[in-house]
Amino acid sequence: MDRFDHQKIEKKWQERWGKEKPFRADDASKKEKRYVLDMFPYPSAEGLHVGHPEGYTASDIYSRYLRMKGYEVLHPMGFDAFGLPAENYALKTGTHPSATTQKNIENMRRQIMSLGFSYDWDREVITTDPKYYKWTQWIFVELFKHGLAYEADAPINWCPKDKTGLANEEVINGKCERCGAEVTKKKIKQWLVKITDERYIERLLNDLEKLNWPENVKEMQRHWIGRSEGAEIDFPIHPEQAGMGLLKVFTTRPDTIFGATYMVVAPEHPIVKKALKVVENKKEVEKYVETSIHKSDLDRTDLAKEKTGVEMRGIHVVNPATKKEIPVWVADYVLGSYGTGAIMAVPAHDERDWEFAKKYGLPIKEVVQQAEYRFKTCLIIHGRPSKDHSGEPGFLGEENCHWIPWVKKHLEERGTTVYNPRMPRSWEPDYQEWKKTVEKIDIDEHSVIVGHSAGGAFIVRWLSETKKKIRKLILVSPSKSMNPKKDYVDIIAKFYEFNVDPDLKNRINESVIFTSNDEERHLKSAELYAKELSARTIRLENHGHFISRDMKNNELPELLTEISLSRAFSGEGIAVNSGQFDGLKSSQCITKVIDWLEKEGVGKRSVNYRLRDWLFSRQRYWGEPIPIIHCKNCGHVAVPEKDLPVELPKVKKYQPTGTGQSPLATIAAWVNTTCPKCGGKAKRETNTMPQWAGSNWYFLRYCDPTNSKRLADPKKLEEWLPVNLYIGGAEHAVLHLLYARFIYKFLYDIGAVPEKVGDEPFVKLKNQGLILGEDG
Amino acid sequence: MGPFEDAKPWSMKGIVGVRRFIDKVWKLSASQQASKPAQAAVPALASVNKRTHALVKKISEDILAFKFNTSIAAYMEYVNAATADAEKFSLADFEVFVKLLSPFAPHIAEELWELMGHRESISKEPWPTFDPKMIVEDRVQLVVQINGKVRDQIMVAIDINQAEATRVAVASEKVQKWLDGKQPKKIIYVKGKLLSIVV
Repeated sequence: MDRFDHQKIEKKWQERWGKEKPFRADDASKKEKRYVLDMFPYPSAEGLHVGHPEGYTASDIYSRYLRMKGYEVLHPMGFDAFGLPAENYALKTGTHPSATTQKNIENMRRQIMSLGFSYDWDREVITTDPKYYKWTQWIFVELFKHGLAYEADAPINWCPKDKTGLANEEVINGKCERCGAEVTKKKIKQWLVKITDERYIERLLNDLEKLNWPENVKEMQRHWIGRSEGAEIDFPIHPEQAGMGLLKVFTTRPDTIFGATYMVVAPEHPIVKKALKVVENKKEVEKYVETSIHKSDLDRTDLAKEKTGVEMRGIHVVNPATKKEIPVWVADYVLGSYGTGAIMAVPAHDERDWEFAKKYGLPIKEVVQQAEYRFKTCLIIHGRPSKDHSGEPGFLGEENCHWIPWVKKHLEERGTTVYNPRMPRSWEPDYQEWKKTVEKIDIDEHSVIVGHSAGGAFIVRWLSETKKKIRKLILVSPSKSMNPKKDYVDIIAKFYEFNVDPDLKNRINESVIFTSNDEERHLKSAELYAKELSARTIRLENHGHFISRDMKNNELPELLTEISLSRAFSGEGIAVNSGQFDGLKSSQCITKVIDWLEKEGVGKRSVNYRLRDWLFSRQRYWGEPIPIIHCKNCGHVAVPEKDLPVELPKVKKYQPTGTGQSPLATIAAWVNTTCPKCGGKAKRETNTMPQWAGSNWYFLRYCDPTNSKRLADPKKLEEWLPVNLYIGGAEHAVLHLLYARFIYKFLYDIGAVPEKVGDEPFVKLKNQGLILGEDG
Repeated sequence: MGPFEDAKPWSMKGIVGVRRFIDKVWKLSASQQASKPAQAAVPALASVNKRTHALVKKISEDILAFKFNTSIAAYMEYVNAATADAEKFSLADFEVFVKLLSPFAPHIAEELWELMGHRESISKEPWPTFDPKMIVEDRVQLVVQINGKVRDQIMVAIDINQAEATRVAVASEKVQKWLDGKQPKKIIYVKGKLLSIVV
């Protein structure tokens, strides 16, 4: 026996298998049936990549095993050949997509076959075959007839590189899922498929439960569908004579309505156009809307990006809970596509609203208190006076100077324990002595510590040394011996002789430094601490060194907010400042507020979804023509089944126009037709379908690949469906896998998929792991 | 190669390793053909080696769990054992092995199957079964202590006696290092579990 000659032997058996067809799936077999499905590839010029064989090998091992275990196994393969990859390649090489697609399919089929997989090649489907896409179009017509496909004129995601509209699912982190170009917005006429229809959306969500899929894929679909319960609340817009009616918002936290201090509408909200007639700053609003409408959704909603907005001056709404007038802003951190496109902003309890309110100086009102809040302790360390004042009449001690008593009073009213110890010989501070004073106080990881001036330096030194963990550190104009002046005696110099522990910032949840625009002497120290502690700096106007003389009064509400709210608190807690709802837990409060809103007739219970309708038209050549005819008299008319397929015309010019029109629009002979209803002059729809259209039902066709009467014989579907095991990449979690589930449920509902097989196509799903480069 | 659902680096070494394995299978088949001519009666399943039963169990479980990487390791181990200890493996063992290999390496499996005198595609063969009684562990890990500290673990036959266990243990390099030439004062033996040597 010679050495194993793999080339010769592989070729021999592949030819034998091709001739003897041992892997043909027999519909009529009496054996128990299994359907093992691979995600079919799109035929690219590069051919197979290493990820393909990995998945195909796994499913092949499994299929061969099942056959030997006595099952009749359907294990097919095909090609998802429409779409941008094929078309872009054709554009690049200057060859017609039909020619390159055919060539690429042949190449890939040869590659796949050379690996010896046990596919039933007699069942191959290719989505670009008119005999196949006749049924892709048929499905669209059915969707249209059932009110699930409609045309709309709306701003859509637009890929400037591929020159086509994109579905939300095709936009990943603001970029085109295919080419990576930054996605912009464009307003054009579009076909949408109503995946959010009430007949489907809850099923798409709830039925995930019954699937044996990787939990992360199910979670991604759940997140994408994004169901949230809450309330719809109406805010009447004033002045009433402007006739703008009500501003409707959706919120998952109606319990925070008392904290709604302003409103935000998305730039694309219809109210903006109406408001332009009455607002005082029309130009400013118009300009803002114009710039933001071209920004991508990601840019607009990214937490890290600075929020912008413009107040619509001259109009306001009334908060139905507080009866107070609150301003209305246009800001692009609210998306037109989420909820109602408008929000009530509750800056105390929403991070984005918080940031926005801070930036534009809008009021922040706390209406939910953290449950553990009352047990929090706050320590305030005063600074170093220039001399000993203790002998002066009426002097209450350094711990009762400046803003300290005011802040203490307000904190105590809220149930916080405040310590403001008098530090020994504060005009000539000795670190060891001060330390003894502080050590008596109960400080833990929930504590907030405020240090003013030298008190700030002391507390940083003490925390550096003791390695204590605290919740928040606030330094008010803190000092460090940067510019020794003549009044610096040795003892003071020694007080400042320390290094900030580089690990201190990791032991503190949050550090904040207050400084003022008119403070120079301690500015450098503030910058130093800010750097060492990675602290956030709040710069106030005209507060000097934060002493009474500089501040002119002793109130410091900004500090109070910082102490009580570390940032926007978006969790659940106890209602405060909320009238009759005070003291209720958030979950109870939500129910009670909704009851109240309904009673008052200003709002109602509501469910909101993140999922949007599925953008179904592409302004490109290489796709299934949408089988709709536009008739002046009859409107949108579906192409009758007998006239399907509407074949893609063979043309020389297929370059995208970039104007938002499909290349098909330029072929007059094809576009102009007659209306199937009235026989009058009519025009064909010129947009094409997205690649997902062909791939969301292909696994049905494998069961009956040559049927010319229907998409597949229900009897055959009954033999094989549902798919027992589906193998492919996790990158399809919210695209193909969600679309395919939706279309399958629809086909099930209209009887195209037999009742017996259930309304979920893929019982079990497995994702192959990525194959990384050689070094991992 | 790692588990199916994990990310894994591409490795040319892995490919070379698999190729080498295929060559080994091929060679093993050649020696099988030479030593046991096809006209000799094929031994009944009962004579199938314990290791072969264990392999049937292992591969069947791995396929259902998509743990193909551990299947490959099991095949390799099996082939090494069969190559080293050829007289303990029958043609029946080899037939079972080729069937088990066929979903993973269908071309060579078909070829070997044909060389063994079969006409039909191996894919039409029923999947081999195993006898659970044949998969009893007959070797165990014996813990070796020296002066109360665990110094080694060695694979021994489950029914090994104290004298034999001591002989095997003392031969271990690790144990020798700790004995450091000293003579055992006392030996405690718990059958099939522990051997404790005091020096």
